[in-house]
Amino acid sequence: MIDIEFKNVTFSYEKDKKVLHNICLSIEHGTSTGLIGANGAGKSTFLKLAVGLITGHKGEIIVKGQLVNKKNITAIRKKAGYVFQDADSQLFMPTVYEDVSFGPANYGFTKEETDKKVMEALRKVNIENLKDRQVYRISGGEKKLASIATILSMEPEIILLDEPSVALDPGNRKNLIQVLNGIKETKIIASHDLDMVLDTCERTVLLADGRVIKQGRTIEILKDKELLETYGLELPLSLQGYLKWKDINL
Amino acid sequence: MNNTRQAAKDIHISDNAGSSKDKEDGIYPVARLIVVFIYILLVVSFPVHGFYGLSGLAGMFLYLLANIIWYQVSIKALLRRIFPIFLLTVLAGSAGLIMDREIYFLYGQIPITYGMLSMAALILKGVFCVTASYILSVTASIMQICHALYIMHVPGEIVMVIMLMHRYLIVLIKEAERMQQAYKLRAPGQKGLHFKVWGSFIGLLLLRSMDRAEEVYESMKLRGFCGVMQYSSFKGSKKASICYVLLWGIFLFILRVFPVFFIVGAIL
Repeated sequence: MIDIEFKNVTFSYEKDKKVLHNICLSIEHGTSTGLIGANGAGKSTFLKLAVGLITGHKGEIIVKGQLVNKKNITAIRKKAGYVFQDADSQLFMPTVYEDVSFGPANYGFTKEETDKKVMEALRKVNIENLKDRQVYRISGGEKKLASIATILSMEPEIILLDEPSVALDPGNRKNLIQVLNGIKETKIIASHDLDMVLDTCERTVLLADGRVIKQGRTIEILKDKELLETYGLELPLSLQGYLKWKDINL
Repeated sequence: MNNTRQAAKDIHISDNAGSSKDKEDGIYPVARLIVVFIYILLVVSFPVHGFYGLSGLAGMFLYLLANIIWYQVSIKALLRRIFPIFLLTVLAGSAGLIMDREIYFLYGQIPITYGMLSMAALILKGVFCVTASYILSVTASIMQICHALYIMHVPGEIVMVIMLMHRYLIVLIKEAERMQQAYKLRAPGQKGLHFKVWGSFIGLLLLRSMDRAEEVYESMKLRGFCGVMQYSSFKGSKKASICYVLLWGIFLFILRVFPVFFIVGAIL
């Protein structure tokens, strides 16, 4: 079953300066897909188009069988959650609980149902202890997990994450990877952190200059040093180490 | 830089204090809001001319005193907040001081003019109203105040604008702090911002904060926000809240009608 489908999608912020060129891409249900590419490749634009944050594209974007347009946008946003790159943009309520409950409350759930959803979301990202903490008092890593919880509490079927590991220390990054691997919904992770993509995504799409250059199994794409370097990326550190070890030992 | 940091801290402390104090006394924020409205209306209704109005106005301080003690409001923070209002009212009142020089009475050798009395009344009115609002802001979070306004049938659009303005203020202050930090690190020894960069600084600050505010709004929209805020219910005692409004209402009316300090002074 296809969760997200881009059919010949072209988008530009300014006239004659296309950010996405004729993108054709399908994301299957339950998969975790890495969206990689150099700065300006169109990764964030791709994610924002999928949830209708930016409009004015040519072609068709279909999310969970519904065309992304003004009419369907509320239903689509209920099914697809988007986690911003900067957690400070995601979190705007005074406490973690209030922020995580914002979505369910807006979708008309009762106080008891909202409570249950909030606690479940916090448990999934292992921050139940932060429930009553002030958002401005928690660390960057905790903010990132809280911002993922704000989406999980709405129980979306698709989760889109924009650079989730940015500005995280190794410990928090490792924790985030565990959390992401524990989420069973369809995921699209836009990131430069190829090691994280290797650890969390079974499929990867390489974007460059708004075009899909290659898509396939993550390991197949991320071990292709020549391909990555051509498009301004590098082999993931873990693979670099492995390949060096292999060279030495074989 | 300290000013912006302090401003951000004040807003966060205000939100924090709002949630914690509410849990303690169980009075609905709407009850506190009603009492503050009554208080401000009564304070404003005092005449500015004559000693009678001034002494009656002074009696209204009792409400503030009781709240400052009960909610353990920081005097230092309060003084910092009311100081600009104090200066503003002094400025506004000084016009009366010059224009209205008619002597009302002599205190020893010192002539007390009508202008002086009206200036004092103006200062008290300004300071009292701001203090009452400040106490409300540190005992109820912005969400609770907005919820209270909503319950009081203030149009939803107005309530939403207040809430979004509060959110925008936080965004604006945070951006200002970031920019000031970046500026200061590259301008060692300079005190504040050089006036030459004020224009570009403010312009850039507005653009950056607008971008950030837009992202925050997008995040709200993505989580089902469609212009109507869903307020979480407040755990409080209805009876206690009604008693709170009634008792304070009666007490404030007494203070309005009888100039307590004047009467006590006359008896003594």
